[in-house]
Amino acid sequence: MIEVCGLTKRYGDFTAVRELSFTVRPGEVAGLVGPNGAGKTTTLRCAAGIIPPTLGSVRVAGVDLATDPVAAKRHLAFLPDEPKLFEHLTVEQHLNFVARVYGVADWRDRAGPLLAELEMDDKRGLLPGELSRGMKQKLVIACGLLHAPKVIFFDEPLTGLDPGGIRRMKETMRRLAREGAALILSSHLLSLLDEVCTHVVILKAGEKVADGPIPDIRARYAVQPDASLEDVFFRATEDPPVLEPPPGA
Amino acid sequence: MFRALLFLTFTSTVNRLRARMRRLRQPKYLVAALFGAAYFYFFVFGGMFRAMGARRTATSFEEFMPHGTETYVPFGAGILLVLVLIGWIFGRERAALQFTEAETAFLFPAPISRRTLLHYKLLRSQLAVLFGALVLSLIFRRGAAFGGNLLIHAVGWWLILSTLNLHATASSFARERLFAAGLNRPRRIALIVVVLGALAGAWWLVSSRQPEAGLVAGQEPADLTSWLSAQLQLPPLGWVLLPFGWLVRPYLAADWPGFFRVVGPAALLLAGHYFWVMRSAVAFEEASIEQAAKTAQILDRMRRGGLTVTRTPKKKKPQPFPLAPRGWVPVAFLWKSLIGLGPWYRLRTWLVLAAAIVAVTTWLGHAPGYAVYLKVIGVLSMSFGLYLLVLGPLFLRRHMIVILDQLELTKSYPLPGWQIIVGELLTPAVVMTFVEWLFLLAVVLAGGSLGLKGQLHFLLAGGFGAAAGIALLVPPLIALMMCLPVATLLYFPSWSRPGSAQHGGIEAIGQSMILMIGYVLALLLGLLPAAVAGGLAWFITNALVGPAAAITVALPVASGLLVFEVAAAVWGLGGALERFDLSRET
Repeated sequence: MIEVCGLTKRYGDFTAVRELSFTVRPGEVAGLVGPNGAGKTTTLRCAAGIIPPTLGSVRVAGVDLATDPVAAKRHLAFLPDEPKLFEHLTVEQHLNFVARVYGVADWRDRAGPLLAELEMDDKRGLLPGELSRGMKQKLVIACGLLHAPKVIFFDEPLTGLDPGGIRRMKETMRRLAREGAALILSSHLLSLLDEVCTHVVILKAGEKVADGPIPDIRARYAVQPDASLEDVFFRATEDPPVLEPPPGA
Repeated sequence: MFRALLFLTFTSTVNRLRARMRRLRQPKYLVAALFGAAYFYFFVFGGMFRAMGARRTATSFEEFMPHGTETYVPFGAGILLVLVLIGWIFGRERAALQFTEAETAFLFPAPISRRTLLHYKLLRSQLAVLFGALVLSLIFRRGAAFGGNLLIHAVGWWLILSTLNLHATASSFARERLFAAGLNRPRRIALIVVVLGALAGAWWLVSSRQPEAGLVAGQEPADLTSWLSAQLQLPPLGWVLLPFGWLVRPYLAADWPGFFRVVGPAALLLAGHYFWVMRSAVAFEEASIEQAAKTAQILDRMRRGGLTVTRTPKKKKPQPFPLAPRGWVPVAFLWKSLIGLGPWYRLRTWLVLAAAIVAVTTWLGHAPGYAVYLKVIGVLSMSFGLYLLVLGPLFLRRHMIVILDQLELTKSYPLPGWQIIVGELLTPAVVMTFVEWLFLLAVVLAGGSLGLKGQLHFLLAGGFGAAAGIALLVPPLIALMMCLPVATLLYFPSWSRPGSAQHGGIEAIGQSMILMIGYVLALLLGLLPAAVAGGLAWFITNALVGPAAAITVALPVASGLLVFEVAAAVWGLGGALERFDLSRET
């Protein structure tokens, strides 16, 4: 479980995220959505302990990220949108390295099914330079999931994946949620969120506009009961109509 | 259409300059720019400005050029010939012009003719040519040797650089045509070698029939210059060098009348090259896109701190040792980096090298006739060892930028900051330590067996105990010195990206100088406690026991203090890494 409480991130006078609070419980998949510059990536990075928040707290699996970052990070995985890999390590050596970092003794047993699920079983000996963009992304996912994290952050997880990879990625996310992980998913692909997420956090200009289970959000913002998440998103994030002053006022 | 391209060039240049000027509002860039400007004034252009202030007299001109400029023309022509040949030999088979990725994305699909694109490219290259001509004129201290003035030299350089630039373009088109006609690179090189061989043979025949120019022992170097110049002018080499000589003469002109007398053939050559480019243009788009992508990749690597322009590895490298899934995590960083360094950076390599040093120094020590080589080995090892020790960590500063680039990844690891710092420092420190130990071994063995006792008294007085003491001192010393570039990176991250697109210009040079000064000061400050403690230990032990024991005691004491300092530095840097806000720097 991850609990974000009063998270604020400022850069000088500019506030990227303002007093953001939300909770994602085991088995839930929360979609973090918002227009460009809403503060999604900043939120993800703060919640994953990559950048320090200005104010507020983050608890990962009950461990405060500021008080004990090492213990908190043992339970989480951050999967960035741009795969950053060590160019001299093969696929298998990446997993070996990550295993040492997280202390995964049985990493070979875990790596097999993981690579098979991501269709990378035959790529174990390849270097990043020999992998396609999608394969690199899959390797990042494999590295992130090796230590069976309880909280997983996905930043635009479908970037670079082919249709088959996208389908398997969605299935993987659902499986991880079923197995009890809390997932936070940042994406502009609202259809993805509609399919995978159980909850949604809508941000706008650094502030939370809405937060809760998708049916509740839909009920709150949708004009029609069968409205898509896209309609809900635009209604939630659109500026309030500017009222014309009455003539002569 | 060409107006749009002119607009692109002009606006890009103006915006780049504006961005640079705006940046100077920040004190850190302003101070750095002032440092850079001072450096250029005092060390690069200062002599030139002073030379411009003083009128050069005929006497001093003759003093510099006793043979007259004409003697030097064949040398300049020869250099240009070599440059052109390099292009023909090593040049690609495909005609590719240097465009940026943005240019290929916007201009290639646009309704712009190939001819217009070519003109645009030539115009863009003129910016670089003009800047190059100006810098070369200033660096070569115009007029110091050849008389004349700065402008003549600048125009001379412009003619040379422009013609070479056009030749590079035209020859790439020609190579593509030759390739299409079946003359691939190996065949092309073979053909060039045959032509050069025939040329050299014919030249040798002519040369051997010429009366000796009087090259006898004890001859003045000035006569040697004339003799070499005359040899270069012999046919058929002289004929080949003729057009290159046309290009060199304006640069060597001593005054404007002299310049106008010789500029005609050079201008014709330039115009001829322009028409050659325009007439021979082939499809360059595909290869240019490929090259633009490669260039972008190389620039990206350099921005990220790559020491050299290396290709993405395509071959798996063996691992140095099996990495257990549990254990001290910084070892994983060492394991990862050693894989990247390749199979040579292994313990066995160091052991083989150490054995070779022992064998060579022992053999030379038993062969009195080779004693001088032993001395050379000793002195060179000490020089290189000290050089590497002082400057090695500085060379690694750019490489350390990788730490920043991987920070998003490493900061998500469940590791305290100090472990990440140790992990990142471990490989360069280990490699440098082993290299230093090898140099130390060579110094001790070569110096000890030869009688460098005078020079190495401080070391040899304690025998191998002192050598072991120094060996013990080396790792913490290197580790401490490595901490300094990392500290720069974490506390002044924006100064640590010299290859960045937003980070060029004179202020980048100034920043490097400030960092260098800061590095030296911090190093001296860091070494002070260890030096004081070691010195005290030496004085006490020397008074009680003697010099041999003193050096053996003093070095471990200093080493111990350095270890303590390194631990404190790593702890502090770890904290800085944990507090480091990546989002402010990316």
